[in-house]
Amino acid sequence: MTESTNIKPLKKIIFFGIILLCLFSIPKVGLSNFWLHLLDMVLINAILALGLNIVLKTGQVSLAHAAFFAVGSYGSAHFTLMLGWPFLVALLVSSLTCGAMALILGRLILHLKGVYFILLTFAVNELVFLLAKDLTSITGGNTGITGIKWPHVPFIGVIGNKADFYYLALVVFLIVFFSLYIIYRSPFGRAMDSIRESESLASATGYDPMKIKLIAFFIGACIAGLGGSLFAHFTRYIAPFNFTFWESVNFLIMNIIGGAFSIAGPVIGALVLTPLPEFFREYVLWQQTLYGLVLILFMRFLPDGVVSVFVTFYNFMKRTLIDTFQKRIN
Amino acid sequence: MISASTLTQILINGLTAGSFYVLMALGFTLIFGILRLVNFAHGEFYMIGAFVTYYLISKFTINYFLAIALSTVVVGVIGFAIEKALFAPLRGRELSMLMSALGLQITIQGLMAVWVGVDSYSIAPPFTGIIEFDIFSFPVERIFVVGLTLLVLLLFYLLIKFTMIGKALRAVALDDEAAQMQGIPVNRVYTLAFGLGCSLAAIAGALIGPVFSLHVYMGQAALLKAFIVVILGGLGSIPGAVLGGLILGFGESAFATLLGGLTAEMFGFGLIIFILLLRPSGLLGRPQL
Repeated sequence: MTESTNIKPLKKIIFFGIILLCLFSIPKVGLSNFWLHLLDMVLINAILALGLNIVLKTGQVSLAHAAFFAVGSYGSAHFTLMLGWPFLVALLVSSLTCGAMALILGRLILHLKGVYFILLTFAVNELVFLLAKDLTSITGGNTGITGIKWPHVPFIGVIGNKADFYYLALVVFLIVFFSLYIIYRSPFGRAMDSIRESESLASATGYDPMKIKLIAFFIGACIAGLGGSLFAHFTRYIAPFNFTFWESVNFLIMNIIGGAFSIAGPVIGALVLTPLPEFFREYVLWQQTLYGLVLILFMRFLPDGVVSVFVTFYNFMKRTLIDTFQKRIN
Repeated sequence: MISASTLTQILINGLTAGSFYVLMALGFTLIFGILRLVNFAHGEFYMIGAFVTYYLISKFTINYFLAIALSTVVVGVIGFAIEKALFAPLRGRELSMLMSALGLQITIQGLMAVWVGVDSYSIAPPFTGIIEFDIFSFPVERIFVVGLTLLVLLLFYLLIKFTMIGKALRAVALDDEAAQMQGIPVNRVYTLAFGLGCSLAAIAGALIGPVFSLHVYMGQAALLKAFIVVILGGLGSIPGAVLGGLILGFGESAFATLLGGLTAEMFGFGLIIFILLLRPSGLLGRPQL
């Protein structure tokens, strides 16, 4: 890994540049509305899964991610519909609302480890779901909130179709992705890693585990809020069934299938899992079973996700290539 | 002022609900205490228990009591097999086991939805009538639920306290390595504990059939109750499960009767938030690991 460190950044920039170019030109290919819808949902899910990823990075498995997703969605719907705020303000404020909720909640539950934390976040998710169902005056109960407007962005105008929305979602996604990319490579990222590996060792080295976990939880919730807000303005209709426990599990599965300890993991997970329901329309009933089996099989045979396969494959190819190269020289 | 009939209602509903919660939480906490596994599929075993009972009664016209016993055995065997196939290879990897349990929950729910559909079913109540006692009146059906729960609890207590199996279970719960060194077949104890826990859930499912309706998604709510109860009583603590179940049952019943259903649902959440602030290990749990 040490060789040619000065060429690497350039290579990386070119690599990302090409990917960005591809990403931005996708809607220009002339995709049907169906595909655009899928792409938008992939981006929204990827944002949400990334939000969970930073929480997982500290070693805490949260099942409350859909709760933040819900707060972001309902918050944004409310801010724009009832208070008449502009979309961008609603986006940011609902994201920060989620963050504030995470700070309060985190103080209560982040000192719990392992299963205790999981159980509690599960309960929190159910609580928020029940509130969404039962606080009819605010959330519209089971019928949900309809008539949410397409987002309006200053200087650009109303983003009123799926192709335009793709760009909005893509920009948010890229901001989230690169923020996390930078965070993971900063000292703070290493602090998160050390806490995941051993909390007592990390605190002995001078880190404050509670503080770091709280910040990660906060960031994760803010990202979930962004995703929630985008989701509300994309589907323009939200109801409690969007925010069940299964949704939390779904984000978790995206992380696991992709690979939770790599930033590409949740994105790949979202890319793989979002279209599945659409392609298995005829087998709707079997879909859930399939999900469960996939999760079980992954935990058994591939606990580090798809990314680990790529990494192994890449290393293997690299090694064999170098080997054959050297043989030829000799 | 609370009238005598309201009071009876609270008492009876609280005891019935409490019985379900205790049965659910007992198996859940047993499985956690021994396998260190958060059994997310626990609610599904409860659902299977209810449906097996339903089919035995409606298709094979078997006597209700026999059906309960049979479904307990059937679900126990299913639990055995699943533990051997699914959790045994993952032993010691707590998080992987938990995620697998989640996968199992999704799978079972999906399979049952394909199999029996998403309609509601109900088991014809085996008992009707009311026992009048002074100014209080008790539906026989509910007394049966409470009575059977007490019987199960007694049997469970005897099993844990006075048999070799119980001794082995306790030893493994305390320290599995030390237990292994004493010659206890730890792997078999794990499987046994899982099967036993599933059986307990199945009894709860079989009992709930005549009182409420059954459908494939019933496990979700039951699982949530089990969570609340074990957090309240202390994860892995058996007396804690009993105490927690009764507290939740009575509390909910009182709130539902006096203040309405929503407050009752919130009661459980309020309780665990409170307990986490004051005593994170639960009422009767050992201090946190």
